[in-house]
Amino acid sequence: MIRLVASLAVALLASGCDVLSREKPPPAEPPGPPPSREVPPEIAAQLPTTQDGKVLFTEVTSGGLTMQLAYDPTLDDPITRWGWCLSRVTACVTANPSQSIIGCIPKIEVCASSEGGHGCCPSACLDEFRQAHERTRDDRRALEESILTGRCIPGFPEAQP
Amino acid sequence: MSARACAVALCLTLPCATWAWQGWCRSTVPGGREALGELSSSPLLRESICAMKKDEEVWPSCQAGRRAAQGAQLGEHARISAEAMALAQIPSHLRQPVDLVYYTTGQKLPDISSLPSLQPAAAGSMRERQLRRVYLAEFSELPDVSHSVSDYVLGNERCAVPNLRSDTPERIDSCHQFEGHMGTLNASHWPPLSKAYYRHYHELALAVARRCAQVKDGLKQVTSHTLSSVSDSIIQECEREALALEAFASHFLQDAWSTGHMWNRWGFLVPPESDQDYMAGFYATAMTGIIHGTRSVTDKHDQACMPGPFDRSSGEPIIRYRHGSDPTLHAGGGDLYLESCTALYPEWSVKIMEQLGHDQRAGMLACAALGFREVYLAGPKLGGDVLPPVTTGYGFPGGMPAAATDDVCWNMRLTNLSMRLSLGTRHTVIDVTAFDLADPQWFAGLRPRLLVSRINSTGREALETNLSDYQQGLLAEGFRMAAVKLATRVILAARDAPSETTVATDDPELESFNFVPRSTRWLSDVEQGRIPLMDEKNRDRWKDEPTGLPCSFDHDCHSGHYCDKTLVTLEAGRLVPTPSCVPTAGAVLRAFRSGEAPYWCKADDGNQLARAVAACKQHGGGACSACQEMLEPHLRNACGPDDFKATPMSGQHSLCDLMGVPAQPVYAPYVPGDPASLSRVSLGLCTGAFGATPLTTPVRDGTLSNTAPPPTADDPHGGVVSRTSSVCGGKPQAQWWRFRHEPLTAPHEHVYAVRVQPDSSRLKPRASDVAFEMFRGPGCAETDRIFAPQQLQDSDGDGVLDTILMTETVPAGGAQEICLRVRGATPETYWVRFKFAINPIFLSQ
Repeated sequence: MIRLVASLAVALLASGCDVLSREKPPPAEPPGPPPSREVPPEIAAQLPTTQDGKVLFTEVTSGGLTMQLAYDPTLDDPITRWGWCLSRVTACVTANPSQSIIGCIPKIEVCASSEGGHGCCPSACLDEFRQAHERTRDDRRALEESILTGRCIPGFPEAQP
Repeated sequence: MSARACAVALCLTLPCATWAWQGWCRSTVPGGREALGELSSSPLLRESICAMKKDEEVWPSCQAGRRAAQGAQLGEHARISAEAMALAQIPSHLRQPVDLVYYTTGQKLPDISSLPSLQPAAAGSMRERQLRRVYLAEFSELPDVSHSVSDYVLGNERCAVPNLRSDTPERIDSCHQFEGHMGTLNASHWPPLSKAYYRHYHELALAVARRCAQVKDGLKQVTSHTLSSVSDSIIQECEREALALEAFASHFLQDAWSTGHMWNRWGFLVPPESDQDYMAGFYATAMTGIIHGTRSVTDKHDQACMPGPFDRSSGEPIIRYRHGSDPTLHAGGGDLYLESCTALYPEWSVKIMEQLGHDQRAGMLACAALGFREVYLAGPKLGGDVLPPVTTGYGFPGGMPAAATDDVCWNMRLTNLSMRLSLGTRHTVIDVTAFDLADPQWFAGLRPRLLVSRINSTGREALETNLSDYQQGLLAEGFRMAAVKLATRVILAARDAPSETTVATDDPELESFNFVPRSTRWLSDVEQGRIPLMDEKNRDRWKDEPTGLPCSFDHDCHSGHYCDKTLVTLEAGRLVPTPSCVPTAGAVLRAFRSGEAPYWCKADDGNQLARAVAACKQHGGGACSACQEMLEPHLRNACGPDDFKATPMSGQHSLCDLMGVPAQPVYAPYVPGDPASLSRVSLGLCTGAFGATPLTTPVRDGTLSNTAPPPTADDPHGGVVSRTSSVCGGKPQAQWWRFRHEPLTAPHEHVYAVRVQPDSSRLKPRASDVAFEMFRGPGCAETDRIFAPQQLQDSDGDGVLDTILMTETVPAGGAQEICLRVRGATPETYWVRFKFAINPIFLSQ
């Protein structure tokens, strides 16, 4: 009997049926706490700043032009909201170094707004990931087909690299 | 501006800041370059590296651009190449500084009057001998300083980069500055292009080396020839040129061993025509800088190049790479961490890590040494025919490679985990927990800001004028999105396959960054020699022929060409400037003129030589030296074609003949076995000392035709006996005069005097050129000689040789006969005027 159940489970998994995983996500570590929107002060103190006081991560000069990569903690647009959500997802990756993040995704904070927010993901993004993961059984592929497309963030640019 | 911002601005003005094993251009080397010894073990070179930017008084640096081409290229690449050449046991004469000797116009840089132009000049404009003393290992620094070897020999004074303007000195400098355009275009320093670049220059080096060996074989017959010293220098310079090209190539090999370069970056090799594409490339370069690290420009430590700090739990280095599919993980480091003195913590240097059992440095040196060895052995091998095999303690998968182009010298790639650390870890302070930039939150929150700096020096004003705010906004948004995606993908890859190398090589989702492809895209272009910044791939197609396309600036010319304003034509005896586009490879041919003698034998036709002669006559000085050096290889030791014997042992062949190269012959006799005579005659032909006869007209045979005392005698009191004569071709030459003195009724004094003067004001006859003898007696036989051959004196240095041969009292009595014999002591003595008189006062007639 035990052998029969085991064989059934193997067959279900091999056929791509996701009944088992859908019913009960595997246990997973939760993501670490979201980082502050501000660069940690002990780090900021060591980094140069722009004239308007923003922390400068790096800058590159070429062709007579200088590009500064300055961090703006006040920036809030669909791209930053998308980044905030992916920050939570990658926190799941970090917290689960040897297993899928599918069990960690439910532990990500859901934003109060469907447009997203700092330290959370819109529920649409998490749902999209779950569905993609059911199809692909693969964290990376699921992310490529869901949150990384930006579709779950209202107003996200259509033209994207 | 805040103090910190000021600090960054200062860092950005560092000279020679690059993403490569770091180089420092030094405008002065304490004690001169010779003090650097053979470089490989030079304490001064290490001192220069350790000084970095801190010891400017001892090691003054030079700015990138034209100034950099005039400085000493000392840094990590030079050190690696010097060590690799020592490992390969390349003969020591090739590890000493060598002189790059050629001619320039003698002009100064238009905006830097203290610096001479280094651009090799065309025939007719060569007026000042330029001596650039360099170590071959310095050529390994050049890909960070110049776009190509030809770019360097042109003194970085031209900009043959497509789609960049070149009409001001500032733009020319910007063309050659890392923070100008070189940073965006240096995808060639990353794999797989780095290998293609190496192969390109390595094969050029081999082609030159093989040609040098052929020249050496062809010149074997001249071992005892007058030209042997000249031919030796040709072969020596040829060998140096081959190894200089290999040193240039080795830069790319060495970069492949820097951990900051062990991944396939995104970017361009040539500025795109579209400003939007160029800007996208600029953003991709910014991301490259984040991964590679920007210590060279920001002075902040980063992970990809920095071997430490080591994993706190294991004490092991955490930046690791693999060779292809070989599972062995190697610890490594990169730019600015070669020496312990630049690593801040000594154990964070590649050098010290080697002592700790991480032998990356040994592997790199072995591969570089193989390259130098192969080129040396393909060449004339002037330091000996045999080199011992290269050995190393490095654990190459599959054993020691046979050649520098073997895959194991190139297939090092960072592991996914190392790529993740490189992307994210930013060390702001030693031993302070690093800041992880790889969190998507940080990238998403960036505001890429574009500051227009030095707007007049960009050469790409369109970037500021044509790109709308909207377009720039799109690019900035694109950067943020691309960076967030990259971070997410790299974090996942590092978790799922930390020891694999997919991120660094072929992850399909990472094939582009913000629409800029991995530089792998350009691989076939490089392999097929379609990148115009590179020196011409096919050595046999190197030429110095103007296209005929008039130009004012380099950007008027097609790719691979520059606007040569030193070109002149000869019109009605006058040199007229005729700027035209010229292939950049022509500059290398000019700079290595001696080593490239076979090329110049063909290229220096009658027109070229005539321009050089005209320049000599017009300007004198260096123009004449240049003309002499141009003409010398063409000189046949004969009076003309009829006199020239083409047999190998005739000793009359020109250097071009001996190399088997068809060339414009110039006929003029010189003293066999006397190189000084060869030079003197060449110079005389340039200065016009032998008259205005065109060079292409053979010298007429000698006119000293009276080889025996003539049957009839002249009256010694009949006045001056004078003759303009030539001696040509090394034949026995003599001129006899016979004088008959009628019986005297009373004794009287005779003063026998001679004068030899040039038939031109340029070439002075030397006292040893002619000898006079006098005979007394009816037969003027040898036994009747009054005195031994007597040499003349030029007492006042005016080139006119006067001598009193003899004074005697002629007794009364019977008739006397005397003979005078003039012999050319050297065959080059021609076109001189002999005068003989009984009374010196007649000599002035």
